[in-house]
Amino acid sequence: MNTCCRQLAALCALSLRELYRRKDVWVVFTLGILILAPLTAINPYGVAGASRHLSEIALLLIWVSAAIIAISVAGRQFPPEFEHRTIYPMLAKPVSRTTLLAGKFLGAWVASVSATGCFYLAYGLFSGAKMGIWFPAVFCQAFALHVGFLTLVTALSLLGSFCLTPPANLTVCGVVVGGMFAIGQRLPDMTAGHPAALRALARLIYVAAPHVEFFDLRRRVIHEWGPVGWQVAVAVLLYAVVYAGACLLLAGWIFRRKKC
Amino acid sequence: MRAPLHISAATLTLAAALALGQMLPRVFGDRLPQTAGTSLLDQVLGEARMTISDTMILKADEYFHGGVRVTDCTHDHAHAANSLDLPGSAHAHEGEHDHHEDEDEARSEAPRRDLWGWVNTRIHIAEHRHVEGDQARELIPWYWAAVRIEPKNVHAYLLCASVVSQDLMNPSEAIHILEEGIRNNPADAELEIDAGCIHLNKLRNSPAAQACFDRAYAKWAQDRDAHGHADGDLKMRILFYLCHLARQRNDTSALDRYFAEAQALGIRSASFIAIQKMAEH
Repeated sequence: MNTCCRQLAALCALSLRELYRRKDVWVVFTLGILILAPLTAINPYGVAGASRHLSEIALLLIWVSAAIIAISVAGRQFPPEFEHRTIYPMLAKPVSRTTLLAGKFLGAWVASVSATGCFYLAYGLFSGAKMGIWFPAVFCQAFALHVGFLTLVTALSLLGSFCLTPPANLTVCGVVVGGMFAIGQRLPDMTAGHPAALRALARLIYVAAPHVEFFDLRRRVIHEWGPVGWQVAVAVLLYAVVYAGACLLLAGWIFRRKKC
Repeated sequence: MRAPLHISAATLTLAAALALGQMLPRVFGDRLPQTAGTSLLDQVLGEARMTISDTMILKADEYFHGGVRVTDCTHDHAHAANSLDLPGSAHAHEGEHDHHEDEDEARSEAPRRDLWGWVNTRIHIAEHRHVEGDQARELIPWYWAAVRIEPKNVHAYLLCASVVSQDLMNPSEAIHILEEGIRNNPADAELEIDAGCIHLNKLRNSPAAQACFDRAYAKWAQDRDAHGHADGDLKMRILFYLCHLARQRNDTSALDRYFAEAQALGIRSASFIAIQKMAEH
């Protein structure tokens, strides 16, 4: 048990180090500041004090950056190991395939959560300084649900990395996440007047595809609506854990069948 | 030996490129794909500018409703020009949004379609609220962006001026916004009407209001002459305010003239009835 934990911690630390060594986070962070800093200086038509548009842009940047980091970090966990054949010594260490998969998942998850945490901290300080409200309950809940989103997306990307090439995985995961954000809830309504086969397909996608839009509390944060009921928040987090678990089990099954 | 040669060749080629760059617009003029003086936004966005600008207006509307897009609640008619407001009269749009309460109640009672739909309505905001007073400042950046992207978007100027004048209680700034709109859309009569309304109702400056409505009248006539037809309702609104100002001055001949013009339009609207009443007195 102790050995397993040590192995998991080592794999986690490796992913975390890799993310910060690649400097992706700092590039995104600098880009965000470069976009937001000039906007904060503008007082349209002499009207000062408007800040919701800045929150909207900041949170959009956080969501896009977090999604890209999570998908790319998780998608990069296994393919280089297979490509450089470093998977063999690692499995011979001995590290079981389950531990390796769990460690890689945890590593990617910790890396993307830590980067998102940095973004949220910066946004919290920025919005506190601008609006005078420091880390309200809805903000903390938004971060918690964002962590749920990262859990789901990391597992999905890790599963994709076993089935697709890295660029294809990045594209497919991006399309699935972006598509579900855009039309996830409207799929059945959109196909209401179409042939039965198309409606059935849309229904299947609606039921089976990851509902990432559940984790998006941006509107509540920006427009100062109250937090979601805790039962709903817990149910949504549970959904993320179960969906991620299903993806990891499937990834584990594919990994076991893979000849290394 | 080769390095200085390469540097000289590169310098000469660069000089030739720069000379060509200076020469081509002079030689070919308007035949080039991009004409001089075209703004960067024009080049990048082209005809999509108006669509993007309208999207900004929708975003402002969303902010007005607390971040919720309410498709069947538009505030297009909420700006000063359409409201036929006069000094001392009650605001024409009080209670304008009463229907939303019923609508929200109906929505909350509607049966949930499925589990995912039910979770979604619990997570995302289903009902809406309206920003009030000083909070309306949150709408301004979107209107500002809308007119920066497309200065021909008259609607954005009208809505922005309305919010600044009515919610933020800053009619002087609203006049500046409308003046900017008029500079960018010199043929538009609606901007003049709104400016006139603000001068009349908020700034109590009848001579300035008269000048605005006179310009609106002239622009309406120019538009009719240019296109062969014109918006009768727009003229009725202009005549309504001109009648009001004529009555203020006790100018009965102008009042009769405006009433005759209103009659000739053949539109029996609330504005016409109001003009008729003013002419009778």
